[in-house]
Amino acid sequence: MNSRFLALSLTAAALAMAIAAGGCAAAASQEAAPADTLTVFAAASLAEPFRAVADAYESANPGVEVTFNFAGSQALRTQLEHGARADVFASADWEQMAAIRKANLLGNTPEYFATNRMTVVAPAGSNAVQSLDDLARPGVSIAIASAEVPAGGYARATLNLMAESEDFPDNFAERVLANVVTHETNVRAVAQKVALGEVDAGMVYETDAKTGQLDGSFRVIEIPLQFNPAAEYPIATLGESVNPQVALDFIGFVQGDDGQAILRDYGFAPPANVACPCHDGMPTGNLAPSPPQ
Amino acid sequence: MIARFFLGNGRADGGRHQASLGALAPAGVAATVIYVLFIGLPIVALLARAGQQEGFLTGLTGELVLQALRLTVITSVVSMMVVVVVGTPFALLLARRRSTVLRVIDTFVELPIVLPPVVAGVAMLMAFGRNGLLGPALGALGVTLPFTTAAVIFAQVFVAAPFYIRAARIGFAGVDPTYEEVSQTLGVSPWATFWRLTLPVAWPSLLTGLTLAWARAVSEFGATIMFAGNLTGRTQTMPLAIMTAMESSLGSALALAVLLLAMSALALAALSVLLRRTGPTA
Repeated sequence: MNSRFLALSLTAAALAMAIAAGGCAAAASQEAAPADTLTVFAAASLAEPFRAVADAYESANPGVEVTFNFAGSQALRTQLEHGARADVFASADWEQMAAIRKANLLGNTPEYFATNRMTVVAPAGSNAVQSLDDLARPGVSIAIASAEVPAGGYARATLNLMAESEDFPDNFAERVLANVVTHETNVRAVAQKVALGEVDAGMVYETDAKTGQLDGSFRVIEIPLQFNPAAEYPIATLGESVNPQVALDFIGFVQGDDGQAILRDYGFAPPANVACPCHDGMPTGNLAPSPPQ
Repeated sequence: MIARFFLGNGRADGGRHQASLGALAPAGVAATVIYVLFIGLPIVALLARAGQQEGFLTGLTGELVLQALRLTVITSVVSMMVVVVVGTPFALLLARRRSTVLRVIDTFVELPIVLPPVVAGVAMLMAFGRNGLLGPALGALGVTLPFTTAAVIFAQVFVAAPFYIRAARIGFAGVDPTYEEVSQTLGVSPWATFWRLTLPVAWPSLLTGLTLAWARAVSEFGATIMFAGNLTGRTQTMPLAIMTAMESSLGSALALAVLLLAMSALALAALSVLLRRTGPTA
């Protein structure tokens, strides 16, 4: 009785596991890309331009299908570090790309393909913030991205540059940061809180502001260039890419005339220099001004 | 012997249906083993990884973790006070009175349980946000809700209250109104009847509901990040801090995850001890 019970239990368990394994295998084989699916992990700020680039790329290359995962670059980095499969990674700063490079997950040498800059946006219907000085006024509510997010790093860098200059008080950065009511996990969440009018101002990319200005939900307060280091976006293939050739081809398309024209339409500028800085390191790009261009 | 080890001697229903399991027993045991592994393995893996993770111990006592823990405990306790004060009389009314209006309300009480929390967050922004339905009125009173600790409590009450109200309603419905009538005929005031008769009988249900509601409040994420934002010390509860830390410091993320796991396990254990002490018949 006992051995029969054990045998039956084991058989049932083995059967159940076989079914589960079969299900997993079936699911995995569905996931495993047909030769021409390209998975691109891209910074949240690239959502609209990259969809347009993908449309153009797909019409130029019938049979290739581009799928996206848009999120804060630091979230994408975390996903890749924990085993997410992708063919291409486009980050909004060098630090996240450097982390992936350091983990030996890259398939080629990253190159810059676009630059962006920070700007301050305020809800169209609110007058609380009219100038950059207003950001430090007590009682003003501000949304920025958290420090790990590229847009959060750039925002803090611009505030520090302002504080160091003679045009702003020494404690300008601290006073602005004291007015921050939420640290969002990607730049689009900042833009959304401003568009809803839930905060008096937010710090986003010029490209995000451009999208919002078109539908009239934002007022833009520009940050002068001397306080506004370029946000440089690197792109690379990943070592685990199932389609390294297609991945390289897509990157070439992004860097080529057609891709660059689309990025320009969405407010991105071409990179000053495509070459990868190739340091593993610490946030020179984020916290210090970029060298004069 | 093996069979007895797994299945024991007694049956859950006290032995009234001796033949019902029979040939199905091996399948039941296999399913149990698979399910326990499925739930247990990730938890064991979490603990094992946390034990080895560099920065786990420093994370445990770090500012990010301590602030998130403090905020989570304070907001969830306040939320539960609100839920009990409002939910108890409400559940009693639902259990004791029948009208078309109450029946409709009864149906919708559980809506927040099935509603995706992020939808609750958006809905609360639309209602209490600065540009929401009540925003201008609240603004005139000098009250701003979004991105405050109060917003965290709003979100927790919204998603967690139904767990308590549902259990309390069932508990109160299980108290025979005849006893309450008798008690009052004997000259005991309605208040005293409630405290000395209704409440003790319904107590196990209330306690179970409150524990579930608290656990749901502590784990609240979607509505909070949407309506209350993510600011350390003010609105960043433990689940939000875990997500933020996953992107910067795995050690802190694991420390927070283990703490939350311990809190949940403690709550379950405390509930089980309290219920046993109160006894099934109370």
